[in-house]
Amino acid sequence: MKDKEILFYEGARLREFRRFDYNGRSEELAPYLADDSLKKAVQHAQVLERPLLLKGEPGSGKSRLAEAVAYELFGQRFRDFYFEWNIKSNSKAQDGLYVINYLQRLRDANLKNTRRRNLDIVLRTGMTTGQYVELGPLGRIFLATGAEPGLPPPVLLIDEIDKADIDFPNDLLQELDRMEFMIPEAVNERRQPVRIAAEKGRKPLIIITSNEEKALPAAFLRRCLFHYIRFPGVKELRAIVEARWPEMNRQLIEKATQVFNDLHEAIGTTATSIKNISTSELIDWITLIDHYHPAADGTLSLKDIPYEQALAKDIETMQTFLKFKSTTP
Amino acid sequence: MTTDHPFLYELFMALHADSRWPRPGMDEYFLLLQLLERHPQLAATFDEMAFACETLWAKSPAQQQFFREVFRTRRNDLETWLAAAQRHDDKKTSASQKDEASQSTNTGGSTPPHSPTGQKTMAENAPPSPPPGTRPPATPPSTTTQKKEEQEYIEMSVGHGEPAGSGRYMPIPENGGTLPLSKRFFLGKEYFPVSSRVLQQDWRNLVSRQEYAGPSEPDMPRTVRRIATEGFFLDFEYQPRSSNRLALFIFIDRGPGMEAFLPFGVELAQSAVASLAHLYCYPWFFSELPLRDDNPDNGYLLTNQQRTRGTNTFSLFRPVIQQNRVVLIYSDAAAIRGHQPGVEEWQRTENFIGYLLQQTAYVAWMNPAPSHRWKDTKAARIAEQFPEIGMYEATRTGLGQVIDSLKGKTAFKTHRNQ
Repeated sequence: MKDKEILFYEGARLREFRRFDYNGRSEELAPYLADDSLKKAVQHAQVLERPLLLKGEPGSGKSRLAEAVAYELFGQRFRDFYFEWNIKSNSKAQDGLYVINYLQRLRDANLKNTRRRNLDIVLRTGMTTGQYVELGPLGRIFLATGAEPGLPPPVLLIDEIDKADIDFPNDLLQELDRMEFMIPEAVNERRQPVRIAAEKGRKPLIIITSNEEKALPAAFLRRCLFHYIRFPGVKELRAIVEARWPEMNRQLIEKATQVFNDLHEAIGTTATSIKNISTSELIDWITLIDHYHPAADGTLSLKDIPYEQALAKDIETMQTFLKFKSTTP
Repeated sequence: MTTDHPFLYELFMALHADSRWPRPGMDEYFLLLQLLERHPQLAATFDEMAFACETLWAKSPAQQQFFREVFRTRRNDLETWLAAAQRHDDKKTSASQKDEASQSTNTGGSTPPHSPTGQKTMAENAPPSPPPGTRPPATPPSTTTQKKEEQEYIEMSVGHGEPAGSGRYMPIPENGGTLPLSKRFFLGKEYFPVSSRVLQQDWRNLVSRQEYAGPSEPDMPRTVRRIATEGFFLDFEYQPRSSNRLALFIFIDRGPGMEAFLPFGVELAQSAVASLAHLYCYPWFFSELPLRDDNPDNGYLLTNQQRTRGTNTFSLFRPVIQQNRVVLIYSDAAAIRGHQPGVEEWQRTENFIGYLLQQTAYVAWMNPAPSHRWKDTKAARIAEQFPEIGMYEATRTGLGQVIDSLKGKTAFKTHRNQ
């Protein structure tokens, strides 16, 4: 039984640079090329309204997917429906729901004699900030689900969830399941307890990324769909570079991506370095090549490109790269 | 494509039965049905269905890899079976035509495990399942044709969780293709007395926070107290920086008798490293008892797990001051074999323990053998003669006691009283 029409992510709208102004803010979005399996995984998450957990090598495009999906679904207004929660080692699950400014309240309490004011923690219905209280990214996205009923559900990125404490994912289970939570400390304008909930039947699309630094609990994994973004092959790398530098000489791109791919494979096979080179390093490398050799063509030799600083982040990788340079024409 | 496909159920059970990773629950199976119900076009082809199952059920790259292998094997099975069923049909048709022609009757032997009757409808949906209780005949059939027919079938388990006796009958692939073997006897981490997650969490309790710099960190409780006292906010109160300075050294016995318990020892060490709780955390290995270095100043010799690298305790301990060194020994102390130490062996054990007590702040001993096996062995003797190092079982309680002991709390007394 089809219960509703879904606007699926097809990865078609962000295949080239997008530059536009929205609400007085100039936006620039780099191209994002998703492969078919990634598109399908997002579509499954859209249908089942479950969080999508992404893993993959650093630089494989995990964190940028959410932005690309939001742009595809909402176009130039995507900032209104796209939320990010960047996890740090000291992040707590509570921070994603709401934060209460106790220090401000204490200061106001001490100044009560000179400036009388209500010290209640108040969050008005439908507002993201109130008196001494502010909603976190999860709270804000739950509210955003009720904003414009005709539009697709908003998108939330929970970036690098494995950075947080080991109990962090477990503390989010209930909120991710029910898509609602209470703020027991606060009241609304009618002096009633505050309940923040996602609109029924319009659960947000949550994309979670992990670098596998810590194991995630089974109970959390069971609530997510999982997709591993494999490292792009030469063709995909070439497409990424071509999308970003449409003016660049095709032969040069082909040569550079081939060298990059060979280097990636060599480091992966020999395991000389703990960190393999990633797509973001390729982009840095090509940026330097483009900057210093704007009119270069396919005849440019790799020997003339001494920008290993952009690629190699340790001495082993640098040595491997220099070896490549000496053997490649 | 129907949603109640037994093929999917078998796939799911294969993944569910493997204990190497978190098992998918029934709700994950229902998720697939939900997906098929809501948007069947997302799983319209065989490969799309495989991808959907993989996204919904597998939760790590390794599990995805395993899933693909299982799926490929099952797919091959299905295709091989369909081809065999087709051949069987053709053969049966030609045989019955011959029978009719020769008017001969052949009633000896038994029918093949799954008769072609009704196979076509089954083939559209599922791999074959025999009628309940059907088995190949125990005695060889009388005719050559029947022998040949029977040799085409073997009994095998199709699901990882299925008992061997309840196997179904599948045709042997003629091209010598691989049969889906059961992997349920592979060693996993499930039998460990304490799960890795609990280990990691518990290791984080083994901390000794020490100040190491001048006052530079805001001290919020003191700041708030001061604000409350003075009635206004002037400045933050500061406190010195502090961090856990404890170095945990784990010495693991890989001698005879410890073979079955070694994986837990390794897990113990790996979880301690993964917990990132300690300044230094080293797992090192020895066999029965570490050897004394030729140079007595160097202490005792230890190796890495593969025995490709060696070190001595002097080099290990040197970067850390004595009060921050804690040592956990993971060994059965001959309790598994029930071995009473000789005079010389006991002397060496005493020397080793004495050396550790002299060089480190605290030492604890985790014994994989249950405590009732310690009696009349070296384990009991160590526990009795060295009360300052606790000897604990490799259990959740034991782990808590080990950590207490390494923090300098006298947990061993509680254990000994028990």
